[in-house]
Amino acid sequence: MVFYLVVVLAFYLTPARHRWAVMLLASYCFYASWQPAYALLLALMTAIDYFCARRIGRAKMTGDRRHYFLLSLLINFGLLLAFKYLAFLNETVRSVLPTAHFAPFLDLLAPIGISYYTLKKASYVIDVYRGNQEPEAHFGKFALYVSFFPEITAGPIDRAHSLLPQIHAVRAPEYSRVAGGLKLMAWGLFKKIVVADRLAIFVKAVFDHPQDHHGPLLLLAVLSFSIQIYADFSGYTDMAIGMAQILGYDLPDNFNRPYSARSIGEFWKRWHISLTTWLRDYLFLPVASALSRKIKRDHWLGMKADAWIYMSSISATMLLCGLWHGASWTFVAWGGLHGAYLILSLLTRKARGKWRKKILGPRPFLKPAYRWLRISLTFLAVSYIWIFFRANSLSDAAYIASNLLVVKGFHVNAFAQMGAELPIALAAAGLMVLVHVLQPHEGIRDMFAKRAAPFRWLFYVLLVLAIINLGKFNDVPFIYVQF
Amino acid sequence: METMKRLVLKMGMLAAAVLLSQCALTVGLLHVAGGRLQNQLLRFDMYARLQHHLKLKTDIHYFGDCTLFTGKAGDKDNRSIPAMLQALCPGYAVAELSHPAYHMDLYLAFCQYIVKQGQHPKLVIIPINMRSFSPEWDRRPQYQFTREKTILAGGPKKYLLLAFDRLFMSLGYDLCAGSRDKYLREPVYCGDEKVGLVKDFLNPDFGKYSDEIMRDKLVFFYLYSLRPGHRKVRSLLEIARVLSLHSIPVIFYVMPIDCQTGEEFFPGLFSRRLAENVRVIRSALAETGNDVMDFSAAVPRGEFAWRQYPSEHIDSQGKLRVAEGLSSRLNGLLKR
Repeated sequence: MVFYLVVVLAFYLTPARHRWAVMLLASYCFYASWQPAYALLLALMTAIDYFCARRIGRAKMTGDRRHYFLLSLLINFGLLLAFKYLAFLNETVRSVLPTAHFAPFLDLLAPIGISYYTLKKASYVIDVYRGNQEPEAHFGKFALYVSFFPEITAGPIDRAHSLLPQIHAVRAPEYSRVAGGLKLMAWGLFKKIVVADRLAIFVKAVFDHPQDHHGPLLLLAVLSFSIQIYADFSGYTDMAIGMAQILGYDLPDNFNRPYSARSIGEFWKRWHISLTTWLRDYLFLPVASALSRKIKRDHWLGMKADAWIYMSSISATMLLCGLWHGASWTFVAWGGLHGAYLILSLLTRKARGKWRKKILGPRPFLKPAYRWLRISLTFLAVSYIWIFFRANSLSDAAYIASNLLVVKGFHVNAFAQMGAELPIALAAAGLMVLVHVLQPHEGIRDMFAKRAAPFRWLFYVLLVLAIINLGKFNDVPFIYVQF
Repeated sequence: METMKRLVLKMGMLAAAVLLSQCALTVGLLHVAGGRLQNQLLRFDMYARLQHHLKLKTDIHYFGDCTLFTGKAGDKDNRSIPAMLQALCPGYAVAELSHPAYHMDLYLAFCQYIVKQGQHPKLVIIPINMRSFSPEWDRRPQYQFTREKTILAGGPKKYLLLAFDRLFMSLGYDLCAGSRDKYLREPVYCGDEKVGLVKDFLNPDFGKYSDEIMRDKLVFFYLYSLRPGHRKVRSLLEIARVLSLHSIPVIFYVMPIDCQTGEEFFPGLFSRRLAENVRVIRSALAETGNDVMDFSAAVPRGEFAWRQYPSEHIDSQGKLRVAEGLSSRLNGLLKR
C-alpha cells in the first residue's frame, strides 16, 4: 500500500512525458522485490522480443520474418516450459520409469507472473508478425508494456494495441477516474479478504482431508470453492484495474458475472476473459484454420467436418488451458473436462433446441424459470469440475467427486464444528452475489455512480467497515498469482 | 488541483463517517449484541469461557498454559490436569482457563477482572512455569498478550483498542505487537554471567539436535538467576494480594521440570539453580502469607513429553501426579 501511494505521488509529480519512466522503475522494483535475479531475466526476455519484433517489422523477406518470429516464440515458450513444466515432466517420467533422471537439474522455481507476461509478449510478437501491430520503437515503453506492475503477477493479459497507446498518451488526473479506481479497489479488497480468504479456511479444511468429511460438507466446500476462486481472482483483477485507473490507464475487464452464464460456452466468454480471448485468437482459431485446410471431406462418421474441427480444436485448447494453469494432472483433468462439456454441448445442441421449443413454445411463462434452471445447472456443472482444480491430487478429486451426495454417516453438527467463520463468509458471499444481481448490465463502477448519494455513501461506509472488521489480514496469496 | 481538493475532502468525509460508525459498532457489539458477534469482535476465547464460568459460579478457577493439556503421543488418557482434578474432586466444579504461553501477567489480569465483577470463586489455582521468567519467554512479543490484558482491564482503553485495532491491522500495523528487535537484543544470563543475547540462542535450525544446542536451550530456559524484582514475580505477588484482599483462597504451585536431563548436562548446577529460583518465589510469597507447592522435581524424566529439546509438557502419568498432589491440598484447604 505504501509502495502504491509512493508510486502515485511520484507519477503525478513527474512531468507527463517522463511518467512512463516512473512506471517502468516502479514495475521493476515491484517485480524485483520477489527475486531480483528474475527481474534481470524479465529485462532480457523483453529485450529479445523487442529486437525480434523490430526485425520482423523491418524484414523484407518472408523467411527472415519467420526466423525472428520462431526465435521469439521458441525463447518465450522454451523458458515457460523450463521454469514451469520440467519438474512436472520429470515427475511424470519418474512415475513411469522410476530409475530415469530426466533433466533433474531443472527443477526450478518459476518466476512470478511468467505465465502471464509470456502470453502478453507472445501476443505482441504474433500480432507484429501478422501485420496487425506496428513494432514498438521505444524500448522503455515496450518494457513498461511487458512489466506493467498492476497486471504482471496475475493479469489481465493485456494486448499491445490496447495498452501501448495509453503508455504513449499523456493523461491529467481526473476526479471521476481516481474516485472510480478507489471504489473498484475497495470492492476488490472486500471480495479478496472478506469473501475469498474467509471461505478459504473452510475450503482448505475440507479439501486437505476430504476423507474425513461426508457428502453435504463436501458439497458445501465445492460450492464455496466456486465462490472463493471467483472472489479471489476477480477481487485481484478489480484491484489491478482500479490501481491502473488511478494512474490513468484502462485495463480490460477480466470477468463479466461468469456464474450467471446459461451454458459452458457462455461461461468461458465471461470467465478470465483476457485468457480466453488470447486462447481463442492465438490457439483455437489457428488450430481450427489449419485443420480446415487439411480436411478435404465434408462429412466423416456421419458428422460434419466442421464439428470434427471444432471438437479437435477445443480439446487441444482446453487441455492446454488446463496445463497453463499449473503443471499437474489435476489441472489437465480440469481443462479436459471443460473441453468435454463444450463438445457435449455441441453434440446435444439440436436435441436441446427441439426440446426447448416443444416445452416452452406453448408455455412462454416458463421462460424465466427455464433461464434460472440453465444458470443453476451451468453453475453446478462448473462447480463440479472446480473439484479437479482445487483438489490436492487426482485421487482426492475422485473421492470428492464421487462422494458429494453420500449422506450416510453425516450429522448436522458437522456444520456447527466449522465455527463462526463459515456463516460470516457465506453472508459476505451473499452480499457479493446481491451486488452482482443488482448490476444487471453495467459494471460495478456505473452501478455506484447511478445510485442516489445517501445510498452510495451508506454502501461505501458499510464496505469499508466490512473490510476492517471482517477482513483476513494474514497475507493469503492470490490463487491465480501461483500460475 | 481542484481534483485533488475534491478527492481529499470526500476521503476525509468518508474517513470520519467510518470512524464514527466503527465506534458505534464497537459499543453496539459489546453492549447490545452478545454471543458469537461479541466473540468475533473480542477474538478472545478464554474471556468468553471465563464469563461462562462466572455466570455458572464455578467453584475452582484453574489457570495455566499449554502444559495443562498437552500430552505424549500414544497416551491412553488424554485428559488435561484440570479434567483429572475434576475427576478426583467430584464435589467441586473446576473451570479450565488455559492457553499456550499464558503466564503470570495474564493470570493477574484475570484475577483482577474476577474481583472487579464482584465474583468470589471458592479457589483459584495458579501454576508457576519456571521457564516463563526466562529471557526466552519473558519478553517474547507474541507472549505479551497486550490485547487480552487491555480487554480484561476494561475502561476507555478497551473501547479504543476494540474500535481501532482492526483498522490499524488493515493498514498493516498491529497495535499490540511487541518489538521483535528489542526481544532479540535482550541479554541472556547463566546465573549472573551474561552469556549472549536472545538472538544467539534462538536456534534457526530447529530440526537439528546436538548436545551443544541442548546445553544452550537449558541455559536459555532455566539457568537464569531469578530476582525478587522480576516483573513476573511482582505480578505473582499482586495476584496473592488481590485474592487475599477478597478472601479468595489460592494454590500456587511450581510446574514440573525435567531435572534429570538438566542434571545430565549441568551436574549439580541445574538442581542448585532451580532450587535457588524456587526459593526466591517461596520467600516472596511467604511475605504475603502464601505457600507454594513445589512439583519442580516431582516428575521423572520418562514422564516428560518433549521430543528434541526440553519443555514442561508431561504425559498422562505426570499430569495425574500433579492432579493428585493438587487434590490432596485442595481437599484440605476447602474443608478447613
